[in-house]
Amino acid sequence: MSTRTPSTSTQPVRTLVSSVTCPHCWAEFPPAQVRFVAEHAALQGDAVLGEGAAMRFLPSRFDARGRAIDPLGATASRMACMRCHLEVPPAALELPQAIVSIVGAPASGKSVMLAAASFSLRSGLVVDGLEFIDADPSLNDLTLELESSLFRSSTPDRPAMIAKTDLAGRLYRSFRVGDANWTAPKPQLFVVGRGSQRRLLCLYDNAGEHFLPGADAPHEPVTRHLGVSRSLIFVVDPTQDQRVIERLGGREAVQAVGGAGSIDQRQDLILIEVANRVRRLRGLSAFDRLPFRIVLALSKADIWGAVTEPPIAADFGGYRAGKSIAVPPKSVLKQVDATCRDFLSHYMPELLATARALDPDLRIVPFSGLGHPPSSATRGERLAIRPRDVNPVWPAAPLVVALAEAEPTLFPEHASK
Amino acid sequence: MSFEVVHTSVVRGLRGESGFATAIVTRGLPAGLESGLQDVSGYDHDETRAIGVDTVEWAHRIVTVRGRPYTVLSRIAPNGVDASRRPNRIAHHLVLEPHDRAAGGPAWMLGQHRAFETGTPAVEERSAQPSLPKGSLTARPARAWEAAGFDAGWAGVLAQTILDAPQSTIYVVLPEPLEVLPLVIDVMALLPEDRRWHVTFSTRPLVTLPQVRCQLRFVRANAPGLARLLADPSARTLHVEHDLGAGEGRAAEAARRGEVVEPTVRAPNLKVHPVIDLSTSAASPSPAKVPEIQTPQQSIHAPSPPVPPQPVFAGALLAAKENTSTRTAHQVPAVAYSSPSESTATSWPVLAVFLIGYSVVAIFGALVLFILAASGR
Repeated sequence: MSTRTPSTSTQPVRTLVSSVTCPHCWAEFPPAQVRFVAEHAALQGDAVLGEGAAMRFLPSRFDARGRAIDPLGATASRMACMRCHLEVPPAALELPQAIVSIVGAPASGKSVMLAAASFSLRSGLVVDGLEFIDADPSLNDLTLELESSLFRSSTPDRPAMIAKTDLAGRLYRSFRVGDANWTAPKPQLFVVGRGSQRRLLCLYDNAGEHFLPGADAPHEPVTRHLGVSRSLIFVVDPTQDQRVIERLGGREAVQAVGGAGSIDQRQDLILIEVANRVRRLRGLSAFDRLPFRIVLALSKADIWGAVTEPPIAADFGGYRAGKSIAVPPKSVLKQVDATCRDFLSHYMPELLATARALDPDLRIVPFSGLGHPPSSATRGERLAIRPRDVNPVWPAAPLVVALAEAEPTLFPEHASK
Repeated sequence: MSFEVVHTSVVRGLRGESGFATAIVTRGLPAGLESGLQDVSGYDHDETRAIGVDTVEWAHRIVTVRGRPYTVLSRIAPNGVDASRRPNRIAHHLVLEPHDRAAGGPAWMLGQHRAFETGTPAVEERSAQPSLPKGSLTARPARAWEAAGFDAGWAGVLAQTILDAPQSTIYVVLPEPLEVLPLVIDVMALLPEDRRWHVTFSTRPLVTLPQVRCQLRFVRANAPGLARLLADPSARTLHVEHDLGAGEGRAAEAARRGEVVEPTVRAPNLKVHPVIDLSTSAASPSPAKVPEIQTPQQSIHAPSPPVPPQPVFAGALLAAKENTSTRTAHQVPAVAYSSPSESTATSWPVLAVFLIGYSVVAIFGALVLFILAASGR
């Protein structure tokens, strides 16, 4: 069901969705309940966001063009969630949402994948006919900054550090719900369009620590997007596994080429924890299948891809040289999927078994967000990479495959069914 | 009992997790406080993006967790690289009970506490409370401001702004990165002892959280996004520059001579905050000359040459009027603190006698009417 705003001869008709899901707190509400952000300078201070934010209000007065008027007469155009009062882009009221959860262990490469995927998708060279634009650049500042430092740096020969996603700070927003303060990750919002279809894509860059067992706190719903997401990308870093490390020549050798090396994570336990949270948040029983497709995104493929049978790192199915950011055709993806399954069953069998148990139709996509190993000048120094050396391979493939599974009509050539 | 919490990236934290985790905690830490302090443990390693003026964040904040406010002193600083060879940081928080607060003030305590962890520590739960410095701080000339190349008078201007606008966020804009804690200690020295723990501050602010009070924020000029922060109409801004004096106002002179600064306006009716002992008496207005600080949206600068009147649009005049009304709303009217005047006190007995007399006459009249009515029957 959709409602239509009053139209005049000079105004286009705006079709609103029947229900809006807030990308910040995931509250669902009808578009008529959206709050507006007061523009008048005197209306400072909000009951939910505190004294530093402008007042949010439910408008009762509108101007001739249908814009809300705040209590002191200023025209207000910015909108906010009715519960958390955080700002939502107008597209949230007009477009169906596609929330994709990106999860994984600490240092598995989630942030780099997100930045590499968004940067390459903007180019229009990833999938034919795909439009990919920021829903609100001011909300996407974190991804834009990472893109700028790694992929379009103004100082391409100056090494850029690989930052660690913190548990606090600019990546998160706080708001008041009842008597409690909640903290939630800042969403990265994009409008994805192809043909006549448009979706509001919501992505979240969580710290890996948030997915560790026991890290889910009641008033820090940093992973609650798992309760509404349409697809799940589980980023796996094979270079964190001892068996892969040994196959690659030991910790020193793996660290030398930019692998994790010194971290030994049970990544299968994180996947189980995530599945349990999904079930808990959605009220599913232990026997229910997860309501979305799991995409295993194997990161740092340029490091471990040499030990697969056949080695995928050599040419990535012929999709490395010249067109490495393009998403390869389904046949190539299927072939590489089979290669990666063999690799996982050999080196990380419990992870593959866990993923299969949760979703028998899971898909596996390797990628490399940087395409070139970062390095540190000396032992113990921070990892960095020259932006000139960055050459991502299949950076958007996991995201496109996940979107294809969630929205098959948007990417029919990549959907499994 | 006071507590301490150290949060950094470790291979295995106190709760068994890896990555950013609690490395040290004092046993008996109140429930919810560990995650509450995690929210103020963030650090932005990107110097081009950070708005703070100091490399190390020294902070005194009031953090409210589950409805209870806590006094928290923090030191947050870079800590090399972690196991994944990515930039690490370490946040060391001290949660103070009221009786552990030194008379010298929060900045003095931060400067005196020698047990802050500066490298990745051994993971442990401590049974003993942290050993905290005790001592006082007498008013003294603002030498640290002079050493940093600023007029010492700025310390006095800032101290007076704190006293005059205790509920307002104050941004102190400094021209280049520097160590700010000595400057804060100088400012605290100019405040009355009973006001020092009312002042919350951060030398490298990161984000604003509704559950965290942080009044004084030291930021770097030309920092990205600074203009948006300074546009907050309820905030006050103090621009400090090397070649600009703080004027000849009473507060500036007090900072140069090393005397306690007094407020120029009556202390507003503070919202009662359980952590802070509100025993301050309202000070009388001082006629001292100070740089203009009454306008939140105006930056505080030293006296500047008079500007010729500019033609303005009617809309601008209206906006200016509305802004003035906003400021007034933030300052509680003086009547809130005024005691009953003498004339009001003397009028009470007269009023009471009048009311009693009126009641007696009314009752007597009613009785007469009743008797007349009864006899008429």
